[in-house]
Amino acid sequence: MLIPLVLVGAALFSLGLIGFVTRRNLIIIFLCTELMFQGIVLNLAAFGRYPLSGPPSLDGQAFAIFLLAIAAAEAALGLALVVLLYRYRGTLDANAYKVLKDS
Amino acid sequence: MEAIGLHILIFAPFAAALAIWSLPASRGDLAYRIALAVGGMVCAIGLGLWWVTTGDADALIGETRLTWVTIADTAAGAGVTIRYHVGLDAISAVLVGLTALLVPLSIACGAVSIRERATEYYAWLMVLTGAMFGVFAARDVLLFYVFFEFTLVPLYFLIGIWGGPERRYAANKFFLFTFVGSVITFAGILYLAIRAADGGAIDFDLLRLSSVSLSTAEQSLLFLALFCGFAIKVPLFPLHTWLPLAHTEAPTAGSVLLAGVLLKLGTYGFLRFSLPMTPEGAVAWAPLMGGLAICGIIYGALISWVQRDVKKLVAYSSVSHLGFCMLGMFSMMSAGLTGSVLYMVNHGINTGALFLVVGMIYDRYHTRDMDKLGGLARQMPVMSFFLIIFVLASVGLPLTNGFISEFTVLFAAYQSKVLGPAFGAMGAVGILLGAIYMLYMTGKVLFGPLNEPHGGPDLHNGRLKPDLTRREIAILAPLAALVLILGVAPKVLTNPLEPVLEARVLARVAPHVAPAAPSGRRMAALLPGAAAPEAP
Amino acid sequence: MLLAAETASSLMSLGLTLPLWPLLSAALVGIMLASGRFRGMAHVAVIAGALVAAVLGAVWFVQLAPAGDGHGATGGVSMDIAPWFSLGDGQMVGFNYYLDGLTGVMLLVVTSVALMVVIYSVGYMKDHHGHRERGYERFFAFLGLFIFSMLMLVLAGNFVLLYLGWELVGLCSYLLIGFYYRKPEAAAAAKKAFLVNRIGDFGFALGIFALYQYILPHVQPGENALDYAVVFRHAAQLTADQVNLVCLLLFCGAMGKSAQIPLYVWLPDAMEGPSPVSALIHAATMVTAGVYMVARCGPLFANAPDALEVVTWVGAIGAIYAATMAMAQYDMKRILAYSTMSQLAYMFVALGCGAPDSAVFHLYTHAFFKALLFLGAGSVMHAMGNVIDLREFSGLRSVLPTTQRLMLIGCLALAGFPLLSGFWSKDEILHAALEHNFPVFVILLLTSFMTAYYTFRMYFLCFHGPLRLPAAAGAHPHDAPPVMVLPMTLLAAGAVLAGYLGVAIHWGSPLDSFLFVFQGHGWFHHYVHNGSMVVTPVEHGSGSAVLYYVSAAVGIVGIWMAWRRYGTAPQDEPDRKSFGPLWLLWHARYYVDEIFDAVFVQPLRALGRLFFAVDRAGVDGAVNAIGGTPRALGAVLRVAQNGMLQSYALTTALGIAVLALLWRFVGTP
Repeated sequence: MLIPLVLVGAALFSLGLIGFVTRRNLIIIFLCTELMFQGIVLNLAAFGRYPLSGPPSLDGQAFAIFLLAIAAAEAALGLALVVLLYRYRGTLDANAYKVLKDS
Repeated sequence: MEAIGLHILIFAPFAAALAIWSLPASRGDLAYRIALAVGGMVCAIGLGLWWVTTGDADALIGETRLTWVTIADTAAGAGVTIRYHVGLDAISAVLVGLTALLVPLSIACGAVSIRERATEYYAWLMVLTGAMFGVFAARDVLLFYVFFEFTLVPLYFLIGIWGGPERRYAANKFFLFTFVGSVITFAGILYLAIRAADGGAIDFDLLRLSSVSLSTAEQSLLFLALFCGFAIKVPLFPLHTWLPLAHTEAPTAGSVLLAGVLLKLGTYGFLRFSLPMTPEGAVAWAPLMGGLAICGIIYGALISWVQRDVKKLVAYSSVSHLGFCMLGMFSMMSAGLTGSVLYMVNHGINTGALFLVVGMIYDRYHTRDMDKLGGLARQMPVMSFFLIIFVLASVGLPLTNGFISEFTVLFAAYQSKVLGPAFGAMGAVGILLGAIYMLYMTGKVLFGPLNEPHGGPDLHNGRLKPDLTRREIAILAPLAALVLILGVAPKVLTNPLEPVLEARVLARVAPHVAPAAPSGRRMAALLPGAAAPEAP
Repeated sequence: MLLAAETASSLMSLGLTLPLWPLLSAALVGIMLASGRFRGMAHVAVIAGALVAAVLGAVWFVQLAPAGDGHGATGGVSMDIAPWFSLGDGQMVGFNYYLDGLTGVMLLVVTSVALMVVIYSVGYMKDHHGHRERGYERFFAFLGLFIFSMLMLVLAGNFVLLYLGWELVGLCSYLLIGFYYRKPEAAAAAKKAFLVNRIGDFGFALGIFALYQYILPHVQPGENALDYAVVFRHAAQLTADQVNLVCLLLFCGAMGKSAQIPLYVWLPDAMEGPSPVSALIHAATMVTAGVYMVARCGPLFANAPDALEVVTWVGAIGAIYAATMAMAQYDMKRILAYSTMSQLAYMFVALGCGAPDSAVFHLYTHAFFKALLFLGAGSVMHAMGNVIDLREFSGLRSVLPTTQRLMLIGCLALAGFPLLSGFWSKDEILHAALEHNFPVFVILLLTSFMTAYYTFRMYFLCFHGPLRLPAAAGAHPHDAPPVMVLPMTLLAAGAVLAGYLGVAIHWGSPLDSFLFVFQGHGWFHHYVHNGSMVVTPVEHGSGSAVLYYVSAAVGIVGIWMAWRRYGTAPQDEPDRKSFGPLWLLWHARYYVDEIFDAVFVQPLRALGRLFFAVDRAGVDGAVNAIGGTPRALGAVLRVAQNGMLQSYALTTALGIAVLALLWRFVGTP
């Protein structure tokens, strides 16, 4: 059962990554990071249930729950930032936020 | 008793710095008084400690050994220990004495000219003082390195804030140049410590690191690593370009301490670390070092001669003088080593004094351009008297301190088995060139018809006189007295030094001084890769 | 026996303090200057110091006399006073004296001439109204310092201490030449003197180093390799090459200090100093230090035939070379300076010909008459309002009769007029040259003639002819006051009588005794032989007197020629017409200063400028280039840092992919 689970996790992560790199809208980018997150969470749960060696343990699932909580907090914080950024610039195009590079 | 004195030397200035910092900015006068009081105190203690070491050649006085930092001590035997380990032997005591002597004088010389941000100025000066004592007192190599680097910080601010027109550039260059070099030295020290530990616990005890047995190639490379930091500090030609800039731009006190004490960190480093730790490498590289020293002597002297700025002239003369110092050290002779240490002290006194005099002229005329100054002898006879004494000491006139050190250094280079007569002869050209630029400067500034900028001297609302004030005479008089005392009785200084240098330094390098082999071949044999054919 | 057994040791320890008295007096003047009190007493202090030195010097001179008939020379005596510094290998350099006949003569010359000059200066350094010149105290302090330095030089018992005295007299010379420091010429002359001497000192120092290197292997435990006594003891053990090298290097120092070719250029310029200084330092004492040194190092030079050959020829060429220049000058003091150079060259010829006793004899007589001449010239200058150019005045015998008479004695002695001191000593040198080197003898004889000629050219131009005065002299120039006349008179007595110490009285035929009475090599020679000096044996009081007649004739003819051409102080310079361009070349001093400047000074300075440019652009440029490398690298890499989050993410993802592929297909290391 491990392989399909891992494949689904990898697919989720890849979709998220592709979206993260290609999309321009900050909210979409943000959602894509969530997608990548979930791919990893799925991996954690899968490896916890079907470890490569030794007996299965609950560690992976516990960690997955922990991550979901973190992700929720992070989503709240991230969306708040996105809202602020929108107020600040009036746009959510990622290209508009290159202030790291001095002009 | 001595240990307490040594702690006071290192920590009292830092405490004074904190106290001065906490003063309101308007209390510059109080800051000056606090700094001067602390300076006088460390002067007395420092000279006292030096005096104690003269009694017993083998003494290591005021030794304190405390663990400062311990890293990863869990595994049995392994781990790194850095200790606060200080103490003075004859070599370091001489330089502590020199520092102690120059500190109060350099504090006092700013009384009139330093008006802006005076509290900060004296605070930084105090920080510098503590760091300088620390570096000479350190018996733990890492502690030495910490203080060695730490001296950069106060001096960086002293130059960058209270310096001349190009102070920012000078401060940055000074900091970066010397810092880059000493990072490589640091790598060398780490390597040495790891080799000394030989898989066991690492520490940085000076004596332990001075008795590691290393292969020839290792010594050669390690010498180069140590060279990077120390040679820049000395400064050895061609790594000297930070010096004229920093000396010229620094305020007088900065120049005095930079020339008088901080350059000696480089020569002290060579003497304390390079020679005993990598004796074979040092002997192998000695001809090159001697060559660079001679380049510095001649090159620095000729450049000094074409300067218009008096201070720059004195600055470049340091390049020349420190060349003598290195030449003596790498002669690997007893006379050369003693002469070299004596040269460090004498250069500190003479060049420090010259910077002080130049500063006094600058306080009055706000220029150091020799084309705008001339014939000051009638205007300022007292100043002229002192200037001539220090100039004569600089050119190595007998009965002044400069003669003994110059003579013994050249003598040793000539007699040396690693350098030889050609080095002695080339170095002796320096006694001619040294006289040329120094007398050129004296003639321009003191002699001839009077030439001063319009409006005459700036007397700072009566705080100065056209000639030197009592405060200024009090600054210069002890140095002038020392010039003569050390010229007539250098044994006061050298007698306790000689056996220590012979035991700690010469005994390490002497076995590697092979009289027969031509120096060029030995050097080539030491380069990694070339060593193979000669290996048994 | 150096000292009689009953001689109190207190006298000896007092004698050891000999050089310190002038130093003490100089220090006293320094205190007067610093405190501003008793400044008018400066000369009293220094005269007292010089007087004590002169008394002690005379005592030593007597003490150092050889016992008995003088043939049993006892050699020099070393006296250790205090250690100075260490040279490693258990070798020390100490303050020690070396005392022998040569020391005695030098002590006598230095202290007596110094005392005369100091007394003279009291008058010279005041104007006609008795006001002290500016820097009066400074002048006397420097004189005191000089006497100390010169005595140290003479008494030194090792080479480093000799170098000490050597350099210190150089310093005093520098300070005193530059006494009128406001005059740019004086300041430049002072600097030049010091620097040219430093060139010689460079060789001197190397000579000491080389000597140490060669002598050290022969030194016994407890001996210090640089002590005279030790060096002389082992001198014979050195190889010829070693001794030649050492001697040539030491001779470099002598060339500088004693103004020989090519390092003589400083001496004429040194006349910018006050006249008493010229008399004391640049005629009687300091410039003879080179002669003294070569004589002192007799045991070394005696084994160095090549070096002696060089010494002889440098001397011979220098003698005639300086004489030609002296013939075409107008500055009285410069004429005397060139004649000093020429006379020193005579001494070097004597040294080179193995007759150091004759060299020292000439040194001793020369000190008196040349000091007298300079003091006389100073007296003229004092009266003429500091004008010394012979074209500006003439006929001074009517206004300066005392000076004129004293100068006449000095000029006669210098010209080698029979029976005056210069005659005896110069003749001995001619004799030595004749025995060793005929061409050199011819050159010296010709120089003798020229010496007499140019000396009296100067004398006639100054004192004869119609009375003319420069404007600066005022209407009624004053002859020298008594305080100046007294020392000049004593020196004149020396110029007449001093030579008789070195003459043997021997009644005989006029062919072997000059004028039936005199022969060479008298008591003076016994005296100086008592020590380390190495002399080619000459049977005292013997030899032919023919040369005496020849040199007397040469001198008298020279004076007569000068009388014929310059007796009326003509203003149109007869020699200029006779010698044409040669005279102009001499007058321009062979353009040597210009050549030196163009060949050495300017190129060296240009090298300095070049180095400075290289230092800023090249060396510092390289440092800045190294410092700039990270910045340049950063400029390239910053392109990747475009601030776009997504491109970073893409790069990260691709990087991980690459790593994963590597891990899969290449494997872990």
